[in-house]
Formats: sequence, structure tokens, C-alpha cells
Amino acid sequence: MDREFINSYNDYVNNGNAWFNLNPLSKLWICMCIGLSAVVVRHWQFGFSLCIFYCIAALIIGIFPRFIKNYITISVLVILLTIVIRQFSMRDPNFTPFINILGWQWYKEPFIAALNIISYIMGFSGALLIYFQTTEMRDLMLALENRGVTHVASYIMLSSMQSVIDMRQSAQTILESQKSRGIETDGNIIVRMKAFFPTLGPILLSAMSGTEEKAIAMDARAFSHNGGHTYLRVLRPIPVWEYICDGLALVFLICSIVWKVLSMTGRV
Amino acid sequence: MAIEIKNASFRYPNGFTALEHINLTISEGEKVAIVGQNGAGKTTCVKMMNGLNRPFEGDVLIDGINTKDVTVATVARKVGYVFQNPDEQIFNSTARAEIEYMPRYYKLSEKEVKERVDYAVEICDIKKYMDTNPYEIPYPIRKFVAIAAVIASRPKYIVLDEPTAGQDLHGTKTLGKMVERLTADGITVITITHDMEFAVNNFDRIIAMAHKNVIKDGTAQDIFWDDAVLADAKIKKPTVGELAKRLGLDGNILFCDELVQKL
Amino acid sequence: MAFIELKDVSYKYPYTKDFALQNVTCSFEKGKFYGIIGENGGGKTTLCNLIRGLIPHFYLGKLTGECLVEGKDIRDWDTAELSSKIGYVFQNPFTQISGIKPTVFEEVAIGLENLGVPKDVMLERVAKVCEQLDIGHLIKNNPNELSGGQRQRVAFASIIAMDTDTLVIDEPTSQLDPEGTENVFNIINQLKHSNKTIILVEHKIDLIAEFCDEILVMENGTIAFSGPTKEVLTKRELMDHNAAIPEVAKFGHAMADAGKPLSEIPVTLEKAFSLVQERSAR
Repeated sequence: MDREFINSYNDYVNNGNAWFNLNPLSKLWICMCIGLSAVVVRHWQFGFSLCIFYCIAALIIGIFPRFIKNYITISVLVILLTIVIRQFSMRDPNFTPFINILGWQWYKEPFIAALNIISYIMGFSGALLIYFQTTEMRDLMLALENRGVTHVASYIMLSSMQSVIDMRQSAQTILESQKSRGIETDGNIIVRMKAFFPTLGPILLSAMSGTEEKAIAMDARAFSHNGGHTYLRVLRPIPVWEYICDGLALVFLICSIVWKVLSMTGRV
Repeated sequence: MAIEIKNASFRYPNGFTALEHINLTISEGEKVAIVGQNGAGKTTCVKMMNGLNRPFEGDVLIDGINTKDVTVATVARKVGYVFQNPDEQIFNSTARAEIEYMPRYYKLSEKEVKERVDYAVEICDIKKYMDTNPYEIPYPIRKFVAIAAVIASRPKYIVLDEPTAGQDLHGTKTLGKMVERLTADGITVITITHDMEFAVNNFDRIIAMAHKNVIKDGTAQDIFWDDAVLADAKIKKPTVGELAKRLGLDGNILFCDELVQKL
Repeated sequence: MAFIELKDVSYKYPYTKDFALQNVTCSFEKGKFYGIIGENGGGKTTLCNLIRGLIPHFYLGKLTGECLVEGKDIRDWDTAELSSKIGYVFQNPFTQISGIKPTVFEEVAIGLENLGVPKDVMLERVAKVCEQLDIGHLIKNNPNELSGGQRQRVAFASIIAMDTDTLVIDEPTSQLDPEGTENVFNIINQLKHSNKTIILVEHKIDLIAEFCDEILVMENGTIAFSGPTKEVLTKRELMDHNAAIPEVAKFGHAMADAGKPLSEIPVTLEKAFSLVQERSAR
């Protein structure tokens, strides 16, 4: 048996580097502060600077490949939708002609408006993406439990995430069993649909009947026991510098609010 | 007419090779039990017989048709496979609807549907559960509903994956009678089982699997009196055989009456 | 004194018309190994549910009579408290995995976390139980991706780790091969020797015969037979009650029918062997 693995539980949870090891709640705080600043400022120059900052941050944290993959997917969607909608929805004869794509005239003002919207969506979603790519849900729940959230709530949250995976798996097995019963599941969309719909019932039913048994199984593991709870995995105590980081993030957000207020009153 | 597995190897998408160069022919009308340890490749092997698993090397032929050339559903018309866990198979809201499903799917006449359903229900002894929701039927009996559903689609070959797991004496007896009846009616029965008594009492050909392959293929006597095979496949001699062995009796005894006669 | 005592207990699940248990009276003593056998649907699992307090706390329905655990009525027990006294492993291996832990090691530790066991004790106990149940090589694996047999052992380990005085085990070997089954029986037997009370539902009669002290045969919600293993399993009538009897007992009866009776009906292989030898020496 892997002793080293067992002994690793003696240490605090270690997920890799300093960023990964931030307390999930402080990490959430920092990400939210930075992300919200983009929403507050709503200026494309600020928003896009943040985007570049996220990419650099992702590179340093060591999640660049998967970060950029998802980030690009999100941005392509957001950019296409926003720019096109703005070009159609904002109409004014005074607009400055900008570019012409195959006879389709674009104007500058709606384009800038679109950029501002894109920048704040991207500025916010980038922070969230980094957060969820560097935080395990169970660590977040553990942090919440340390703050007094009951382990029942935490269990419901985590197990519903697992049940989505389970349902996908059971859909696959049921489809497989249909094939082996003689029901055609390969072919055109109608054949596939005809094979797929009957499986929905049993998937839901088995998920539901599974829930009841799971409740009993958890009860058998003393789930409702009240005499104190210990944890196999323990998050490290929050060091002072982490609180300082939280504070700095808050200062950053406040600065962005102040800037926004000043700029709206025309003082910047 | 036969199921022929020719030099077939199978690898799961995650890269795990479950079977290596396996050769096996099961002819029409046989009663075959496959035994061996968990993880020996038994289920992987029978899933090759109905096309769910396609070998990455070698071929599987069902009555001469290569499973690589047709859909699983086409193979299923000849080879019916009953999953180990009935919950993975049953999807209708009553046992009756479940069993009628395939005959109706094949657009048979009302008379034929009824005939097939009655036949399957009688063999599986589940008459009183016909209008019950499968989820309210006790697990061991639900397994019989799954079996009946496959029988009703009338394949030439029926593959059962651990039908004896969780069955009581009555259930095991019903299974034994089922094997007898189906083969008498011209249907080949292949089963995976951990119950050696069940294998010995109801099947005339036993296949022992281990190390991703067949290690011995023969009669119950051939398998259960070959101690090297038993050790390799991690299976045990049926109790009567074990007693005969300890008593130093010869004649490869496996049945109670043989033993009584010998003493 | 009996640790668990049932007095004239009847029970009906909600929305069903038949009683699952009918006038059941029986008792379980500390440190003994009980085997419950009999037909499916005969009430074996219901009896387990009652002893573990799932009836009446989880399953409503109509419960009459008295079920006492350590002299206190099951209705008055707090289920949380019961869970630290009576461990329960049930049939379906797939729903017994929590689904919230990414490694087998953490899965097995859940019960101990809930009981507030200190971490050093927890680590040691989980490691020991994993070794004992032959899942040591799986501790880093994701429990949600294991086979049925492996899950069954993980679920069993999770309950054994909690070190309760009593274990109620409902068909723990249905997904296991003969070797795995024997392994589980050996573990249960070890537990018995550490003075735990064990109540086991099983169909594998040869193993029941070898290990259990007492047997209860259930049929139609009632106890058809009960008593010391040897006494119950040698009854010829058992076969009429849809309960399997050991192969060697069948052999014993067959010898008697053939006019070559052994001096008694054996229930274990060892015994059968010595009885046949004794007979040929005569």
C-alpha cells in the first residue's frame, strides 16, 4: 500500500503552488474583486488590460493551456454576438463610418460600445474561469464548512455534481443495452431520437431511487452524528499575507469604483 | 451455424487490454458456462459475441457474419445479451411493456407478440409481476424480467451475465429449468457464473477464463478435476467433488448420486 | 442478556398490502454470528432494516410489537446514535458510495470523520481496513469508477472502519467471485473473534454452514426455523421451504436414503469427510 500517499493526509491540503493553495474563500474574494472592477469600470481599455493580465496570470499559475482554450471559446461567442447585435441595434445618422465588410457598413460608435460590453464580460468571466480552474469544489465546500456551513449542505452540493456525471454514465449504459436488445441507435437523427427518448425515464428513475438508498448509506456512515466532526483533509490556516492580499484586492475594487464615480461626474 | 471468435483481442478506450488472441467456437444448441475470477475478461468476451465490443484484432463471426460489418442491433437479432444489472436494461414502466417491447419493435402480429410473451413469462415464472412497475419488483425477480425481455425477442443465442447472483434456491432452480427448456427449443445458452454448482448441474460445456484468455475448455469433469486450472482461474471444485477428492476416490466425481453409489 | 430482542413484531411498508414481517420473535446475543437465509421476499432485508432502525425512522409504515436494542425500544433510539453502534452494509454496491470523495481512502474515512475520530487514529484505521479488505492497491482510485465487486468491498471497508459493536450485513458478496467471497467471509469471521455481533444475510449456504453460530430461516415474513447452525441445516424440511441446504447435508440425506446412513448429517466438508471415514472404518 502506498504509505507516502497515506502520510500525505498528515499535511495540510497541498494542491501545487501558492495560488492553488490560497484558501478557496480568499481566492474567491480576490477573483471577485478583480472581476467586478471590470464590471464597474466598463471601459474597453481597462477590460482588455485585465484580459491580458489573466493570460499572464494563467501562465504563471501554470494553467495556461486549459485556461486559454476555454477563454477563447467564451470570447468568440461573446464577441460575435455583441458586435453584431450592436451594429444592428444602434442606429444614428451621425455615426462615423468605420469599416466595410463585403458591403456591410460598420460604424465606430456601436463598435466602441460593443467593445466596452465585451471587455467587462471578458474581464469578469476571466476571473471566474481562473477561480474554477484552480479550485476544487470540495476544497471550497471544506472552507465553507470551516466557516460553519453544515456538512449536509456541503454533501448536497458535491453529490449533485457527481450525480450529473452518474446520469451521463447511466445514459450511456442504457443506450448500450438498447443496442444489444436490437434497437437501432445508430443512423439518422430520427433513429437516434427514437432510441434516446425512452431512456430518459429510467435515467431519472434510477437517479431518484439511488438518492433514497444513498441517504440510507450516508446515515449508516454516521452522517447525522452530532458529537463533533473531524476532517481527513485539512486546509492550511490562513496566513497573514493572505489577508493582506484580500485587502489589496478590495482596495483595487474601491479604486475602480472611485474612478468610475469621478469619471461619471466628469472629473477625470 | 455458430459463434466463432477468431484470434480476437480487445482493448478498452482507456488503453486497457482485456482479451488477448482469444479463440472460441460455440455451436448451435450448446449449453456453455463461462467461469473465472472477476477481471478475467468474461464479460468483455461475451460482449464481443453480440457486437457491443468489437475486437481491434481478429474477428468475431455470428453464423458467418462478421460483427464488424453490421450494427449491434443487427447482431442482437441473433445474439441476445442479458446484462448483469437489470437496471441497465429495463426502460419500460411495466414488466409487460418491457417484455412486449422487442416483439412490437419487430412489428410482429398481435398473436405472435402474445405467443412470445407468454413463452418468456412462463419460462421466467414472473406471471404475477406483469403489471408492476419494474422498479417495484424485487431485484432478483427484476433480473428475470430482463431475461424474459430478451427471450421474447427470440434470439438464436442467449447470453446471460451472472444470472445466479442474488438468487435464492427457487430462482436458481428456475434458471436451471430455463436453460433446459431453451436449449430443448433450439436456443443456445451461454452463461457467466460464479456459482460452480449451477455450472456443473446445468451445463455440459465449461470454459475457464484467466489472464485475458481461455485457459481450459471442456466438460465439467475436465475443468473441475484439473487442479492446475482451478488454481489458475481461482475457482473451486464443487463441494461433492472436493469431498470425493479428499476421500481419495477416482472417477472424477462431481455429483451427489455418483458419490453415494461409490461409497 | 440479549443485545437485540424482537417481541411479536409485525411490519408493513407504506403503500403495500402484505406484511413484510409477521409476528416475529427472536433475539440476538452479543459476540455471536447469525446467518439469515431463506427465500427472496421472505423478509430478510426488512428484518435488517428494523434492527438498524431504518424502520421506523426512515421507512414509515405500520410497526407493531417491540424491538429492543440494549433494552431500549427502537422507536426511542436516535438514528445517529444507532449508526455508531450498529454498522449496516446493504446490497446495492452502487448506491453505497458517497459520490463526493475522489479517492477510495477518503471514501473509507467518511464514517470516521462524521464520528469525530482524531486524524492519527483515522489514518491508521483506514489503512488497516483497506489492507484487510484487499483494496490497498485501490486507495488512490476514484471510487466512482470502480467495478461492482470493488465497490462492494469499499462499502464494506467503510463500515468496518467505524468499528461498531454490531454489524448487519446484507448480501455482501453478490458481486464477488468465489475467491473474493471467501475473503469476505474470513474477514467477517475475524470480526466475530473480536467479540462483535454479526447478523449476515446470505444465499451462499456452504459458507454460512461453515462460519455461522446460529441460523434464522425466513419465509413469508416469519421465522420458519431458528437455532444453532447444525441443528437447523440438517433439517430435511428446509428444502420444502425454499431455503438451500449445504451440499454435504444433501449428500448425508442421500446416503441415508440409499441405506448407507452416516452417523449424523454433516453440514461442513470437514465433518462430512470424517463421517464418511468413520463409516468405512466400521
